[in-house]
Amino acid sequence: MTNSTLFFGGPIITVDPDCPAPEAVLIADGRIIAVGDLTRLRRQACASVVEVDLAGKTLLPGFIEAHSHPVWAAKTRGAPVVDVRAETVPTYAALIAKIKRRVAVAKPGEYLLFFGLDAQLHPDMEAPTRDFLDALAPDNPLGVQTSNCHGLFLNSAGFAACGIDETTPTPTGSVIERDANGRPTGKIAEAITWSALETFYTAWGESRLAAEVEAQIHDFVRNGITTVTEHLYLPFYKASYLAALKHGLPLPRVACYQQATSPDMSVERMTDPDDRLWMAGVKIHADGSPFIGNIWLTQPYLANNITLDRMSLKPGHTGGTNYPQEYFECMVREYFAQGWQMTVHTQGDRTIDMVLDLIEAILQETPREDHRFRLEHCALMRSDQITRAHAMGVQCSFFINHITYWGAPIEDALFGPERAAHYMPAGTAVAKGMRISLHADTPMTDASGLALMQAACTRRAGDGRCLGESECLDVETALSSVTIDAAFHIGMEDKIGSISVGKHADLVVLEGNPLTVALDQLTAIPVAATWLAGEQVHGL
Amino acid sequence: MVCDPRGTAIPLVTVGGYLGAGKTTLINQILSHSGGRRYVVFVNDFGAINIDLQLVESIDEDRISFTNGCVCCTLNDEFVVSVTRLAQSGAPLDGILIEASGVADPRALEASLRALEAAGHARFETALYVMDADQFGGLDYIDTETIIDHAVASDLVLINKADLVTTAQIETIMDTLKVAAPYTHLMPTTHCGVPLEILFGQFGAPRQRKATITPSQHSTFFRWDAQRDGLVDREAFRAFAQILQSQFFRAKGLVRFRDAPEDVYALNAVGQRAVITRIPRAKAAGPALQLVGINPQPISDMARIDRALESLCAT
Repeated sequence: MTNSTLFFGGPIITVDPDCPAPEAVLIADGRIIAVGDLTRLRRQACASVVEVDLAGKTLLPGFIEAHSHPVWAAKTRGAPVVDVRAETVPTYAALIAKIKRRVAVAKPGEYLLFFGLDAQLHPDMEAPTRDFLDALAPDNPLGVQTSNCHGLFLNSAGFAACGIDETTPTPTGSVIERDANGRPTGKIAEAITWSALETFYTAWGESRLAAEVEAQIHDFVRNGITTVTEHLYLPFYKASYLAALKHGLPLPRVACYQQATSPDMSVERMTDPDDRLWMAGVKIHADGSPFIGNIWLTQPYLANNITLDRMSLKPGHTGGTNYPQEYFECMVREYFAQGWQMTVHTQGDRTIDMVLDLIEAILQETPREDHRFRLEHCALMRSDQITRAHAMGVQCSFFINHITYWGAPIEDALFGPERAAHYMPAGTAVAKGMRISLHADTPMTDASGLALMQAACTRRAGDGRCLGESECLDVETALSSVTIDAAFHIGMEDKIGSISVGKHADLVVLEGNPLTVALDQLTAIPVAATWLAGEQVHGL
Repeated sequence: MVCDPRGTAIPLVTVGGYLGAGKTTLINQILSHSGGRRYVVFVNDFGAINIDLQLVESIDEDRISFTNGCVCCTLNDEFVVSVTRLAQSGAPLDGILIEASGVADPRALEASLRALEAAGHARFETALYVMDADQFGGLDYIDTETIIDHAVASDLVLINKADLVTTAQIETIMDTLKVAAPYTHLMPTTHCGVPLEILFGQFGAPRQRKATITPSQHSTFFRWDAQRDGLVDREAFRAFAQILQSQFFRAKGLVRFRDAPEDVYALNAVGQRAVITRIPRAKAAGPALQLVGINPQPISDMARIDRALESLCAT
């Protein structure tokens, strides 16, 4: 037994009902080998064991981020992308001024990208047109990406660099806004956004990406996160991950879900005996982002200046799906038939009806035990849909940080108080017996297990209002949904997610006990240390 | 707006800014002219602290104590522990000031501050940022953007060394920051001349009365006050407090509500924060509503505040 560590001296929350609050935990060679009485574990430990006295700090299983995009986050938000999210650039006027200052020092032809334009949070926001952006930056490819990641505004040089013009057909699952002659007018959305952005990322080169991936990795482990997903995996991401592992970076375990945009993509059956990087399944967008109107609803959006002017929606807008229904069904059937776990991005309730109908049909035709079909985000899922999903064994992962970041506009500008009270209905799902997970969807919001728990337990928006008291989780359930239940959602509940003998030694040490602090103070608890595969990767 | 149940927490101010911007000048001033108030200042480096030795009571490795009751400590990993000890010691303390330099990023201390607030030991009052007006125009893109981003994250920016530049240069800086950081208050200063009462939100007299308060040399500040007798509606007051918060850099006051006439509440608004706290064991006496507003510049729309006040008292 080598590399052995014994933890004791503070509350230990295992999230394992068989031994919920032991006195000590012994790990060796990257695994948890004993949990229980300190005297017994001391006897069991080898002579070279390192003892860690928690000194009152709390030990928990490492947090699991059930839906994230580490490499994509590095591409999207890392330098030289300019951060213009509302938290650092509070208004659209400030955003334009920031773009002007950047353009003023740009070399001719330099690729310029700005991330974080927000129709809900930039109070004076206008949709920038191609002509407006041309006037700002005539000599540089320039893009402004929305904070929800789903939309991009380009100038003429940007369109030229990305090879999008009046002759370009709009790919299935994408949006290109055009004038009467078919000339793109500035805004593109959904899948084509992400392929266009690759033009910018490629122009900046590989070394930039490696540095930003490393920064992203440290962001996760600093927040106690030991497992993540790459929920828009594309085959060329693999090199970044392998490089991180080769260089010994503390890369959290990565469950990859390949993004499918057509039914004929090959999905590599990537496995790893160390459980650091593997292919967990396939991800498909059924609809898009509620913040740009690309979701399918039974009841329309509210009509006001935010939806009509800033988001450019028509009164009575009920949105739609990303792909034609038949095309979408063809993709789901194809990858399900290959045996993959399916995760489907669904936000609007009408989209969820469509997806549940499809799952029901597929399961009738080709039943599969324990398919763990996942619905991602689930913003406007109705109570009857939760009942139906649960009966079919469909899992729900909630993007609960929507409430923290955009709670006020969700209620006031987009959907009104009734729908806001059940937006991201985690409480209803739990009450109906579901095992749920929560996620931050980084780069959309910042990854933190404690922030997810606080959001789910308090449902407090940035302005302090509570969106639907009845949907709040109790803190134990919230903790399960960022540990063992998130592990279940990625099919790893026998290997991670709790402090149980035989599991990987992925642990987090918190300065305070999350089960006893006030619910609105969860995010005030500092993360003292993070352990990944038995190695300390963060903290003193 | 939140109601803070921890009315007794020590007010805390952070001071950010690049080396040479004027942070130490500010700290030296606070330590030597505390006006009978007792402050604890955390700094990265004692070297720059330049205070009349006659005022020094004792010097230890990580702490200088002054005869006026102020203390200067080094900022290290033990910061949270140190503040916790100060808070638990029970000694009267009027404020904590932290020089958040090194990285010069006012956001760097956030986790520690949140932990202290959560424990009820401190109340984060003002994120202050000091910038050098003389240097700003000559900075490269990255340094310029860094200062602008810091300004957004701050409640009050001192555009310091204003005496070294022209009025037109100050206006250019103000114009840039007004667009970039519309919710931040801006104040051109020379030698960081800013009254302490604008940084710390004490209402009324200092807790220690050893010395008399030095009269303010900053008569250029715009001040507004109002008293009204009738009890006010709690919800209407919250709305009114937001108007005050949007107009004044600092607004403070005492108020009694119709639904709880015996309880006295304190309003404390600075920058983007406004807190209404019940003052434990306070006696209900004097006018039910007493308000003070302070701003670096005159308020352009005083009529709006007067109207709002009248309608508050009418509800």
